[in-house]
Amino acid sequence: MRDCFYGYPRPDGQVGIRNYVLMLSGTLYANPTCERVVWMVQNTIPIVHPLGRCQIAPDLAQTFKTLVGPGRNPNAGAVIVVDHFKEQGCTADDIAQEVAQSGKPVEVVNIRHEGGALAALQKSARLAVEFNRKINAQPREKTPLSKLIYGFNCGTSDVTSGLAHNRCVGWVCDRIIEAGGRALGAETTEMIGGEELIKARAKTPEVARTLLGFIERMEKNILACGVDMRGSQPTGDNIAGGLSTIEEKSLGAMQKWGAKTIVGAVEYAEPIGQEAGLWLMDTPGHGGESITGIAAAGAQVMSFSTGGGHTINHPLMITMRLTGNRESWEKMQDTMEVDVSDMFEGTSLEEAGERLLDEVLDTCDGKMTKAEALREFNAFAINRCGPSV
Amino acid sequence: MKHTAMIIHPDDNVANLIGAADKDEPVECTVDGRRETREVILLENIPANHKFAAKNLKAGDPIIKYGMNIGRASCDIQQGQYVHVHNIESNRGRGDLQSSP
Repeated sequence: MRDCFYGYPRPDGQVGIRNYVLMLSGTLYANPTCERVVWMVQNTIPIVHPLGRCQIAPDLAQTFKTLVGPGRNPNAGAVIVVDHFKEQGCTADDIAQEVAQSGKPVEVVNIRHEGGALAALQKSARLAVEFNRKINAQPREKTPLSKLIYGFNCGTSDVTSGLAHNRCVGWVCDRIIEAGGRALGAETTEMIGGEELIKARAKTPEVARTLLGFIERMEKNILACGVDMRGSQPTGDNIAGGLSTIEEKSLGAMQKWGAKTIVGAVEYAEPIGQEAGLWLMDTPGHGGESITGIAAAGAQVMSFSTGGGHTINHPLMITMRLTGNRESWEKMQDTMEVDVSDMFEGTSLEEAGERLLDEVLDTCDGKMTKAEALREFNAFAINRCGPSV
Repeated sequence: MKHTAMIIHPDDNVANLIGAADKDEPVECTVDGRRETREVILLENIPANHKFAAKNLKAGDPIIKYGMNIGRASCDIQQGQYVHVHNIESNRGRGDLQSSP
């Protein structure tokens, strides 16, 4: 097995697998400026979203860390933060200051101070051109897998998920961890019903308690809405795909966890520790919100396994999609990278797992995903913990 | 072509069909990935990749897949019958039952 990838070392010790200029929007009202720059200037990536205004303090704090996260993600070689509002604790300057601690170049463009949207666009585009010329002189360097955070997630699950593609992801997690790397999963909804497995796999009782606490909080929050989770989980797609209960969906989803020890558990969009092993984050089952949390923790690459096929990708955390459902592969081939449906015809887990691992490491070395080739950016979605006010 | 299904764990009482199959057709089940097979005759048409009972089940019995509990039978289910939301239910995340991890 390959024990390295070729990446871009950053001043803070993280290593990117891409060297993008990130256009980071502070509030929804700066989105157009960021999007226009992305269509004008090569090698720029947008982080745009509908939040940043009139959020209660804990909710705004969660938005803040979820915006700082991609700024610090090593796939961004330079960052331009665009906004002009003065939300307490979440201004463009606050975001830029936090991102700048990573040592990478960061600039702020304040729409009002620049004299309006067109002047801000001109300044942002010019900065993006200058950043590109500056950071693209950096060559890729040979990097051990201990520098890799391998994100994984699943969506539009069906019964093939737990039997084929999720097992491949678990197999790849195990190999990356054996090589000294970290694997980061999430989706608290899909831990419901897997408590025994968590207790058996957690490195310490404290890690197990934290994860069981996430599950308890998730169930309580659902019941506090006065509704029953049945009707929303499993989803209509899951049921059509043959999954009958949340427990069945969870245990199939947990096949992605491979067989290694769970070394730590973190809150939404928080960075993870340095220890090699399996890490888990508290996120909802919502694909976009979940992978956005994982990207904020610094994962460079993500395997997203899907039964029904998917278009999902994170703008900055390079997302490759796989399925074990041949019909989904055929129907959704424009946005899927890996087919493991031959596992139902006798292909072994090792063979299919190797295929996925090769694709993951090739992607780290620079192989474009279909989302990158198509310039699709669809799954930056910040999880909320409070109402708009 | 003979139909096949997967019983993932030896303790499982449901099997996952590979592809679709019709009533009265025999299905060869692999158990825990081994070719040690068990034949089940389907009592109903089963959609592609959905589940059927590998054993006779009574209402209230736990449904076991991956060697773990994925819910309970909401009525009696015979070996070979289709198993899905119409005859099994979740134990979790609901207002009418005490959650018991």
